[in-house]
Amino acid sequence: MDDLFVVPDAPWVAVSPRLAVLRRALLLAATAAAALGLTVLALVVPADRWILVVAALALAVAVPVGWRLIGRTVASWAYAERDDDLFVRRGVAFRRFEVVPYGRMQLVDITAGPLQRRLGLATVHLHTAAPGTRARIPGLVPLEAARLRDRLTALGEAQASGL
Amino acid sequence: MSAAPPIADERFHRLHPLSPLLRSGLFLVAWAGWVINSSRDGIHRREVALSGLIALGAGLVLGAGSWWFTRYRVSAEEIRVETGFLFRQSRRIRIERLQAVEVQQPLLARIFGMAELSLEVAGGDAGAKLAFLPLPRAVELRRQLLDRTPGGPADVAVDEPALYRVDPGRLLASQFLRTGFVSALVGALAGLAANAAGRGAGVVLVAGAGLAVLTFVAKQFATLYGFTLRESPQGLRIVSGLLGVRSQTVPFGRVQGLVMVEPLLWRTLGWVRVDVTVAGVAQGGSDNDQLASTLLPVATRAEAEALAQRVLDADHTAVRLQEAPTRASWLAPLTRRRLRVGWDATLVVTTRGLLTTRTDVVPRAKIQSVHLVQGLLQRLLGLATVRLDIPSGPVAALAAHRDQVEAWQLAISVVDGGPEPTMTP
Repeated sequence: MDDLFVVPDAPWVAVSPRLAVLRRALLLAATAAAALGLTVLALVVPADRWILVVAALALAVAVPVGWRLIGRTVASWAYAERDDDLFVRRGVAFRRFEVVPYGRMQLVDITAGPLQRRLGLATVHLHTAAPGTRARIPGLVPLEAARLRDRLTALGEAQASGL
Repeated sequence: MSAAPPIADERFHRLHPLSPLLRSGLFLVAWAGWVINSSRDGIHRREVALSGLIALGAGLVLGAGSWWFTRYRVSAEEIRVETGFLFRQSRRIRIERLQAVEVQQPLLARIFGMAELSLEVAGGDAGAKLAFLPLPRAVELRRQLLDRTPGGPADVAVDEPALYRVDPGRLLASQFLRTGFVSALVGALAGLAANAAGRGAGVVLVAGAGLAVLTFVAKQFATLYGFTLRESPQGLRIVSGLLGVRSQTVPFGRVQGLVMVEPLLWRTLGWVRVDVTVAGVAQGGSDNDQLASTLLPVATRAEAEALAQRVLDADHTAVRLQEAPTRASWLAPLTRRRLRVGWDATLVVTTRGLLTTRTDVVPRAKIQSVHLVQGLLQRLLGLATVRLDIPSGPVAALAAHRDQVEAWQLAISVVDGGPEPTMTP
């Protein structure tokens, strides 16, 4: 997808495309809620029709744009396990790339909300002593998430350098 | 450890009996102020006196109770502090886990020759405070505790020559020359000038703002007055304060990064402020926290660089810095030439800032993680920004608007353990 983030000695592993399913479902739910709100508003308040038409149009544009953006964002989200550190990248318009050495990791979290669980997904979250570290890998199959967590903690212990 | 017996005697001790009075001192002063204020009209005199007596009585009873139930004991391995009236609490702190031991003297306590001893351990709330003890006892207790922490004996620390002592005149001048103060002054003058035409109702407003700024300056001055830096085996020992005195130790190994700050007018005089990030010293953004991380309130560039070398154990001035590429002017037209970054085998140095410029220095071994961000405009120009993540504090090293290939190289190799990156000019 791009030529800048080329890792010399490890492949980029993409997150599950099911993450896009989850996010698109949330997008549709939010749109439905907004549309419902607009309808109620149109019936209750005798407001200017123009505002409602503009709002409805904006919604109609937002859905397909959001739909595509979700697809591309999820496709861009990937991680690479190197010998000494973990790479995480994400983002389409605003790109972010993170390097976390195994030895600096303080703890590794796995979280999964009810929707994520239904789709068989989990999120792995890496923490170091720095609050600026925001390495997060969503959309992992639980088995892979657990494998990653165990590997990261094992490597973290082996290479620990602390503060 | 000649004087050990009186303190580490495995017996419980109480704080000084004056403690509750000193602790409620501030409240008393506030109450007295209120009384004086409201007795002026003379109507509520009786109510005032009555409320005062009740408050005083209740305060004394509670204070005495709290004093009676607060005990501490120092043994060879741990300090035990028991507190609580209704809810008893017993806290044990292992001496080898102590991160810092500070002696503080708020004004009222200082008048009575008392001091507060705070015991800091990693992990926020886990420490303890002994308020108040007689000053010599607090100092002796600190010495003995630090003796037993893994850092080694501390008995040389008392009479060592000062590495640095702030000059009161320079300190006062520096506080008035801060960019914030100067811009407030310019704003006030502009407000006055605009008001000169029409009556000047805004004068009061300007005067109020001026008073607030002056109060801030006075507070900073009082806190940093007499700022003295000494080297001790545990690290740098800082003592400062005009009314209340605080003394603090910054261990060398726990310094995560260092920043030199130069406000606009300080630069013409060659003055620098040096702040450090120390793990465990929380950074809530309040004045006190900010002052807790100050290593030099105002010093010359040469003094600051010598100290930085001592603290970091490496020479950051030897690091060759390079400006952001010319096309970065699209995104940072005024500061492009200031956006510099450089690194060597041990340190990373970054500079930035327009009015107040800053130089952040971070040892590569202390970097926790690195992240690179690239916005849409940066992507069009082939630029990217790299941030080095370290524990929270005043230091924030970032290399803004670098060439994206160079930024990528920096991001993947800057953490300690990677090879030393080569810079492509």
